[in-house]
Amino acid sequence: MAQADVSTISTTCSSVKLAEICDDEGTNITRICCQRCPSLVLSPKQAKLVKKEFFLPNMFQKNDHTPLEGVTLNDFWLVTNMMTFDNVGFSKAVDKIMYLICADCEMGPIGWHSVDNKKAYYIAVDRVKHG
Amino acid sequence: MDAPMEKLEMEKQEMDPDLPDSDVYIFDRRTSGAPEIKLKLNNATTYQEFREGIKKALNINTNEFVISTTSREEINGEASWGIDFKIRTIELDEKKIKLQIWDTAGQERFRTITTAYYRGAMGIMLVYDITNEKSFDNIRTWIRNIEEHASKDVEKMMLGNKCDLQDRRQVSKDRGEQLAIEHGIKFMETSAKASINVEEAFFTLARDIKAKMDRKIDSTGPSKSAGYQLSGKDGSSSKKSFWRSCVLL
Repeated sequence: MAQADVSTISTTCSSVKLAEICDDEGTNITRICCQRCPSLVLSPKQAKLVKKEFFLPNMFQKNDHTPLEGVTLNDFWLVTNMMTFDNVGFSKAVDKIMYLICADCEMGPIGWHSVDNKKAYYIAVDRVKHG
Repeated sequence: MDAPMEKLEMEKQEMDPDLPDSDVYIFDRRTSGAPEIKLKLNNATTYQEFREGIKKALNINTNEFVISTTSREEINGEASWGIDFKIRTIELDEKKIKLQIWDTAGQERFRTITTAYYRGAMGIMLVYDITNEKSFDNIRTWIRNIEEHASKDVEKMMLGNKCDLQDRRQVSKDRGEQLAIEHGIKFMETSAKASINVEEAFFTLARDIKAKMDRKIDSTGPSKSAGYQLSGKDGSSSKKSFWRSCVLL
């Protein structure tokens, strides 16, 4: 586990040290939960850490309205089958992107999925709790 | 793999686009990995119904499981997110049951979904609203659709829901029974709100499916069947798992 990598990787990921949440192969070693409620999104060893630049709208909860602002994130957990998730919500597709939210409190987006790629579901490392 | 699109388009046209208050649950059990139950819910009153039903069907005694947080407010109030579906996992005796929950009222769309899904269904529950004539009329369409797309030996059952609302009744029990007899399927009137017959309905369907499963398994050799865990170990061609699919319309 190269600790040195962490600081460079973590530019947009201030709260999480990547080396602490994945093994040598980039697989998550901890549970992946909602930041706001105890909902389990992914069990250990289910997702792969990937680098991917993607713009996600800022987090909001159900009755707020969609903010136009967002941030480009780089670190995502990749899951290739949606049934791998323990609990997650999918928004309706907007420009072919479905946003992923917490299935319980509906906080999100915590990730995204493109309807064009049925084998890729991304959870933003920065928007979930590890452990 | 996917259903031919042209065909689906055609079906959409024949069908009344304004389908009221029908409910669709899809139970599915994939051939590999955790058992999965898929359901579509487009009428909030049926959530409780489903919850109770699943408890019965899976022989669960605890209330400590979560199927969905979807409430009527979320459905009617058009939650800002416009949630398409949720994936939920419940764990029972170390078995994970995954549920795919559809909680929109996109009638057009869910018909396409169910057409694609219930082809592998083992049980189908048709639910209409006794206070809503149109939902009853739609049952015929659903039956036709099922006969076309679902497997021939699928277990079917029809429910007239909201039977607590006698003063608003538009569909008599007789008519329900007649339709059921016509198609040779079981029939019950239920009330999710007053918890009338809900468990019985689910239990009946579940039992019928399970009985059918057991017969099949008996005839194909030994199995260590415990409860609903009747997965065919032979991989992708498995049509033997109990909850492989159960669709409720």
